[in-house]
Amino acid sequence: MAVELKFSRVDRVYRPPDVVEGTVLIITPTSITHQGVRLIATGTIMLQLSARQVGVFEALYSSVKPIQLMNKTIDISPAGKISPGKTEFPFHIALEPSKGGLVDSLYESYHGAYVNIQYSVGVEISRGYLMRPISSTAEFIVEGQRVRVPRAHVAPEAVNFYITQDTQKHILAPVLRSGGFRITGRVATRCALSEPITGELTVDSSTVPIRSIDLQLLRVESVNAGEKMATETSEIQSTQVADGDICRGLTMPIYMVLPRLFTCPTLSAGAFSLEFELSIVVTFDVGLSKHAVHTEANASKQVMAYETLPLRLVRT
Amino acid sequence: MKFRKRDYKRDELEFSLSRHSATAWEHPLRAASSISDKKNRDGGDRNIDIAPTSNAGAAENFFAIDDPLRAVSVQSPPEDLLMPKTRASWHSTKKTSEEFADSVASEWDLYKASIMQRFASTGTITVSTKKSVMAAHLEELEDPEKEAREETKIISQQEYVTRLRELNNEIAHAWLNNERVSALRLSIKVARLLMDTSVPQFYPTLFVLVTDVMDTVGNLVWIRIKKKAEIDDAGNSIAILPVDFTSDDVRQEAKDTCNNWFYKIGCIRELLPRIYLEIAILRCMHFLEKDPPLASFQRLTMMMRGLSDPLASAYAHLYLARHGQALLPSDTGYLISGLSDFLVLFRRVLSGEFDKHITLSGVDRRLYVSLVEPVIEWIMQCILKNSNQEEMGYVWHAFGERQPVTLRPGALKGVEEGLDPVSVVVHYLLKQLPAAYVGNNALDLSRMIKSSYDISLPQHLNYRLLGAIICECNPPQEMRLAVLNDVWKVVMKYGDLVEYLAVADVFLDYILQNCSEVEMITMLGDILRHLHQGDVTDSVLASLEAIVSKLLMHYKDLTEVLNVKHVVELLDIFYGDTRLSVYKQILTSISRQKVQDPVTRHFLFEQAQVLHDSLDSLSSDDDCRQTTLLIARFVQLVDFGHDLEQHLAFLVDCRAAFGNMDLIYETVVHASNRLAVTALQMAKGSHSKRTREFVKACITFNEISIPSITSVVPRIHLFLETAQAALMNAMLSHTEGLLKAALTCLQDVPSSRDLKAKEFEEGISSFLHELSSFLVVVPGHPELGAFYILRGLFNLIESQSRLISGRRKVRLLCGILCLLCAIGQEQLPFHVGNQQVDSDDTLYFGDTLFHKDLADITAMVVNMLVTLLDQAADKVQGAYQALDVCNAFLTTFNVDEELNTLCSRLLQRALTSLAKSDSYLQATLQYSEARGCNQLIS
Repeated sequence: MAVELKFSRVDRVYRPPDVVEGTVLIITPTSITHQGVRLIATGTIMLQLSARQVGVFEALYSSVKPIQLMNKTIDISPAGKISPGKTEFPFHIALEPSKGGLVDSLYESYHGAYVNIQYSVGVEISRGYLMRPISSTAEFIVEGQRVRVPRAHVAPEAVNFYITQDTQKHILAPVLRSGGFRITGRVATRCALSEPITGELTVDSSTVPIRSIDLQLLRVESVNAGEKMATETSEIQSTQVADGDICRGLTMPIYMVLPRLFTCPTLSAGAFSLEFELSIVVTFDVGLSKHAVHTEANASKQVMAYETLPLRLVRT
Repeated sequence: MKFRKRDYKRDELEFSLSRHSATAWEHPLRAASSISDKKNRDGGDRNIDIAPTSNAGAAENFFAIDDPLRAVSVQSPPEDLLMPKTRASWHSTKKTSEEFADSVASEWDLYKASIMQRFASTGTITVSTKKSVMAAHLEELEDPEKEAREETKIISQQEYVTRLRELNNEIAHAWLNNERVSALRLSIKVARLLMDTSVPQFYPTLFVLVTDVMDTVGNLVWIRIKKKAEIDDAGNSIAILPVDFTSDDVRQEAKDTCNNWFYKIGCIRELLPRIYLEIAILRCMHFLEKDPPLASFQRLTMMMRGLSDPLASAYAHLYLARHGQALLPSDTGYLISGLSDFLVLFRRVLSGEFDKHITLSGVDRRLYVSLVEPVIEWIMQCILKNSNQEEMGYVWHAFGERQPVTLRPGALKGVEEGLDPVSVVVHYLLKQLPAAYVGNNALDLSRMIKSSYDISLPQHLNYRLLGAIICECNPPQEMRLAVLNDVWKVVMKYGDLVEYLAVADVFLDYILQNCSEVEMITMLGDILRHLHQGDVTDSVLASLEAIVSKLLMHYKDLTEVLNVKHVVELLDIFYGDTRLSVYKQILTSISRQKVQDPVTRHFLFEQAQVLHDSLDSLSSDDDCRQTTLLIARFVQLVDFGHDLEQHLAFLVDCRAAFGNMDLIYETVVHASNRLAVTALQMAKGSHSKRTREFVKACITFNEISIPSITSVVPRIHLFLETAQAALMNAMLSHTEGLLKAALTCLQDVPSSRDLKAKEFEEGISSFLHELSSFLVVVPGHPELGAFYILRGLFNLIESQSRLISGRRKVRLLCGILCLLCAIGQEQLPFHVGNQQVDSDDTLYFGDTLFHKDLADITAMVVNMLVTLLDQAADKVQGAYQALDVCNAFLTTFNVDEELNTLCSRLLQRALTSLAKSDSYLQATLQYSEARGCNQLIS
């Protein structure tokens, strides 16, 4: 016997105040007596502390309590009997935060390393004391409401940046430091989630050949751990802009598609915050072999130059 | 039997066809052409009548028959170039977008094949040394972690190709099994192969293979999304998309899927695979947007700036251009900017910046550069395919002119004066621009070529191309000389003779067409100067030969060519086989007009001698024949005007110089006979002492020359001809001697005949007939009798019976009968045109002995004929022979009882063996009746 949840939308994306619609599909070879079919819709923020920030011990023991965004229970069928074959129970769930909850609106779904915002629908068929209840769960995705904002309002806030040997805070390889380089460009740091990050980049000069220029999309997740925030930065996606020692003075486009689910609008709540950054990483070719770069982390860092820009992601 | 009295003049009038002179309009060929002309015109009119709505096809067809060249101009009128081109919008093209894509695809297939072919051989040669690199990459394909391991297995290029094909199949397989993610992953892996440029000469092949896979993937995605738009999740058909659908017709689910594909591909980390895959599925933008994805093309072009490897960059541009042809046929902006981006990179290659990298991969810079050539060719073709004048000007400005550095601040410091155009780009620009455009802008284009000098393509090829185009489509009058001067300023400094001559070859054509002789002489002088300085190799001579043949073609008269300054010096440079072939060309070129100029004659004579001496036992038959014909023609054409003695001296020289050729002997003999006759004409029929001596010299010359000819038939004919000439000049002893010589010659024919027996017999019999007709006027020998020669002839026929036999012999005897009849007349049918020569009718007038002899011989001939007829084995042949004889009898003899019975017998014999309807039989019967021979036919 199988219980399945089917959503009305193939991509399972719902935007408040949409109503989540779907059916519970039960296929059974024999008839089943049950004490009611119940549907539970939940929305939770799960937080986790980074071991590096607060220490292993604390990370293990003082887990942060999940925050509930939504919790709804709907009975879709009273106690009765399900005849053999295919049975369908349609359902409707309004998307609204649980009353008296912490938040007044639902956050968007987000899958991260330390912060997870997840929505799911569970179905449970209880069958009395001795029988194991039959259940099934399925996740659906909540996206912020698409606000029809005129284009002018989200005018890209372009930020100019430049990367030279002097802007680097870490130790550079001597040859880089003496030779010098200059890479300039600009990026629209306020960008819509449905649109790619755009901008441009130019290598004005570099005496050392360039091996690669990459864009890294970083997430900065902070979780409140008592008196301080445990902040952790990790990479979501890396996109290469230039491969090899490209021509000086030619402007290249910065164009990065934002991955869904792994990004959401920049968010700051009391217990946690979600921010995103774009890092431009220039790797130079100083004649080190691939193996050397792999084995010595330090050495590999010395032949790179960074510039990190905060992004402001919005849902439009 | 008595000879009948004949009136030859009346007979001629009676039996020849009536003649009338044809006017120019009645010429048979002329009439035919005018009729067909009319017919054509009628046909054309009818076509237009049937389809008055300007049926262009019919009209064109009509023109095509009339004049193939005009048809071309009808199909592409020049106004087309000047008309502002209406930008084809996405909407207007989309109707035929499928067809259009197909045509582009087929074009692409051809191009792909050419790439594969072009680089196939180089690939296999050197790949063997660098296999390990590819092997490593293959392993990486299998297992990315293996990358660091040192061990590599040796594989060949073929295996690599096979592996790629397998991957292609795997992708298709995964796709069929609904494992689309793994299919995508595999195709990313395939695309990643293009990042490896370590074996440059293999890269084009690799590109073709990989893009095949990419195109397959692109098609699969397209089909899937289309299906998604037409069929819902449950498998029910929603609506079939119309052929010219737009994004409005596509349902949201399909659009989402489509978007997902773009998302997935957008997330690929490496730049190159991301670009390739996006191009591959770019066609699917059609599901999402109404307008063509111009922005995407522009962005992708920009993104390619991030590819630092020249090869990878070039081929990525190529792939974009290929898909742009299908999706955005009207827009070339992205191609232009893409190509100029690439050129920034390419210039770095040309300046040697990448040499270390290139040497590492085991090739030299020139080869490396040539790998990029097909890309530039294709892109340039795309750019200029549908461009109008204005666009051409823009493209030319963008690629052909010095690029101001200010356009790209800080790009390349230290090059203040700007960047010269890249020669390979210039080449393909020239190639793709319409000829008319090139002609009109020739001066500027030549400046452009002048300024482009790098290793991507030798400059002389560009000049050559320019020259060829402006020959085809001449620049405006006032520009013509300027262009030449501009080009030559550069070319005359070339050190390499082959390069120099390659350009000179083409521009000589140009000069001949557009400039005066002064320029040409200057040019030839310059060529000569170069030739003296440089090392003349075989390839130099080959170009030089082309130049000489152009000169020969241009001038009608060889003397003119030789009079042009420097030409003779140029000819002196040739040696070896090329010299022979040039000489042959020269001799061929004179085959029309007479050679009168002494210098030219001397020149040609020397060349002929060289050609003659070049032949040996190893030369091919064809070669010998050709050379002989050429020389013979030359000898025929030589003309000394009135200076006959000089001419004879020349003939003596020829005989001495061309001793190995029978044909030359024949020609010389003919010419000498002509001299003898001309001398007679010039003396107005009566020779002075001097002219007689000269004619004697001619005849003697022939008497000496003829025996040297190896084959019998020409020899005897020439003897006869000379005998005729001698008789005309009243040299009786010579005539006799020559005729005797001819007969002796036949007497001595070796018994073992060659295979051409039939031709030989034909030759002999025609000679004998000719001889017998000549004997009419040959006077009898005063001592040996009037029929001395004729008796010799009989002796010959009897003793050498294999020379002539059967019906031929019968006919010959019939001919002799006619001869005898003619001699028996009171007046001969014709006389020698010289008053000094008396024929038999004067010599033996009223001589009874002579007439008795004649009657004896006649009786003998009749006897011989009758005997021969009895011998005839074949019945039908015998019948025809009988008819021959009957005719001869009827013609020569008076009708009397004897003749009557004789003819009746002959006709009877023919009647029994032949069908009654046989035309020869019928004609003979009629003739006999007309002659009054009343034979009985039962």
